[in-house]
Amino acid sequence: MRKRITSGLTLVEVLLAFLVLLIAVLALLGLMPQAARQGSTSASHARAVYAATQAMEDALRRNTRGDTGSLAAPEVGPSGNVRWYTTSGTQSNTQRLHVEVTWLESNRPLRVELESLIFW
Amino acid sequence: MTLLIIALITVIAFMAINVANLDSNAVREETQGVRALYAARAGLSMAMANLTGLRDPDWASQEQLVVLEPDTLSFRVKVVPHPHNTLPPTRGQLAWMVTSTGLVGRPPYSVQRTLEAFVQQEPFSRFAYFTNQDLGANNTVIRFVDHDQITGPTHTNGFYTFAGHPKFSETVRSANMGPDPDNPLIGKDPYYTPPVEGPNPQPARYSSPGNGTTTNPALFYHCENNGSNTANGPVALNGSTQFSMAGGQPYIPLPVDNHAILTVATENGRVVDAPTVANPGPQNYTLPANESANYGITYDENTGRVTGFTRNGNALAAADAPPVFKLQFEAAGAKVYRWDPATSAFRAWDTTRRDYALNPNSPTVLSTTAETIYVSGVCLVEGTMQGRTTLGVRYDAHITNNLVYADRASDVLGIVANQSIIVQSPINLKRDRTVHATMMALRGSFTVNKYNQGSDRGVLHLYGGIIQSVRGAVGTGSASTVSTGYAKDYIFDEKLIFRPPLNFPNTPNVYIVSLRDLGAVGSK
Repeated sequence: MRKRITSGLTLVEVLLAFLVLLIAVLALLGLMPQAARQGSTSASHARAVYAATQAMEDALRRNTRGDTGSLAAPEVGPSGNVRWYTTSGTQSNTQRLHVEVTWLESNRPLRVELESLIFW
Repeated sequence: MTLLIIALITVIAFMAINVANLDSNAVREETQGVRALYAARAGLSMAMANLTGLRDPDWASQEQLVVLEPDTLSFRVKVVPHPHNTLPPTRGQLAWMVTSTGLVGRPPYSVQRTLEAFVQQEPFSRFAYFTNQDLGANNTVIRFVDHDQITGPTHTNGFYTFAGHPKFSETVRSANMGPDPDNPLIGKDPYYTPPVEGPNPQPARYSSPGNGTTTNPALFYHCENNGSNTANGPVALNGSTQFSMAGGQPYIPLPVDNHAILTVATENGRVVDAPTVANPGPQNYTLPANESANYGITYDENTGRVTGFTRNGNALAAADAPPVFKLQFEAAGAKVYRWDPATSAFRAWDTTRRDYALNPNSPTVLSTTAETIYVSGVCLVEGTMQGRTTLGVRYDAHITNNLVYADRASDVLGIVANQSIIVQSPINLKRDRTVHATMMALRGSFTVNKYNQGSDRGVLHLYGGIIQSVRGAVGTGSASTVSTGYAKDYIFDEKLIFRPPLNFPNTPNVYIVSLRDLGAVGSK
């Protein structure tokens, strides 16, 4: 009588494979909220850059020495704030113009900074 | 089936992570690009500062590298003069091409962004409204009130006074310094403290009784009764209060006189004058350029006749008075007449013979196509002008009737008087007056004869700009009615920004005619 040869996976092997796949998928699913957070941060960061650009343009248009001020920046959230100020440049006829936008993202303080130099 | 679902979940998860990463990278690149942009703007500012006042017209013909923050932010800038700069400088505005590149990171720089700007000298004609001091004669306060509306760029070296909410199309700029920045007692804004530079710099401050002390230049202006800024102050044309003043701006000096126009007119244009007399008096045109006496005429606006002459307001004999010319603009050019005190009439004038024309019906006709004309005397103007012309006037200029362009789309006229520019019209006749020109009154005002006498004369339609030393009045009345003189209808002629009248005076500043952003490169 010929001996019957069978091929395939045992139940244990299949369960093991499922387990490995499950771990991998769970790990990937665990990254999804992080990806979502990252997307949200990117969006608010882009809005912050836009707010900073607006403030920089306003300040450059005013072209005024010692210009300083601060405004709420609701586009980057309820805690959003845009601040601009000048500091002395390296030469007497220059001023450094700084603009910074700050906001909270999931209780993390974030910031975008721009700067330029005004010559007189 | 299960495997398929698992595979699908895997794919979706990978896609989400990838999208988030792409987003994050894009924002990072955008931020770096914007940082490079403002570094490039710093280079542009540096170039313009060096070109201001022609401190160094050949500045930076070799590329310069300036580091803002070591290994983080820097810029390269290069200035190339426009080929036409080699022409005589008074023939127009000098121009340059500025190339400025903002650099992020350390060499070879992760991100670069390049701006190309075409900059040129700023003509005074680019102002819709400019005053050396915004007070009237004898420092009388003249307010901007609710029904005032100005389109186009404005600037005063002094300070504005607001009652209510006058409307402006652009930021309202002031230097708060008065007509002489070296003499703080002359017309200086008493509430303004200029910035302090040096090792302990202080920002400019504004301290008014109604508003306390502020360093916000948007609040550097006078309010009626020193009231609060929310009750008084400039607003945008649509009434928006999200619009403001820019106080503490750089002082822009007016030319002392229009001698530069005389120089150009002598070399390349036309000069209208009369010969000197044996006994030199005011009519001798070799008077020094800084001659400070004011010569004028008394004029009968009903008959159009010159009835007398004045020097510093005092009556002057006709023999001692400067000549009075009249330019009648027509399509063919400007016909020249001179007032003849002997016959009490305007007679045709020959500018070559410098005498009355042999044919009384054939005055000299000056081209206005592209011309610089200088009238060495008092000048009366009216008519329809065609072309691109600057008219320099040694004393007062009088606008005796409508003065309009043949084609508003292309014609430009600049009148630059050493003294005042006066609209002459009958004080009790209600008839609108139209003036198409940009006008500079270097030591006086743009005003209306006897503006506070007679009755409502209608509307003064101005299509152009007003640049004056002292603010002049054109009428009196309340916010809604005109009692005497004219109501104002001023519209800025925007082509004056880029196409000033030929040889119109320039400020010491340069400005950007066109700006091209070549975009950011790098950062992958």
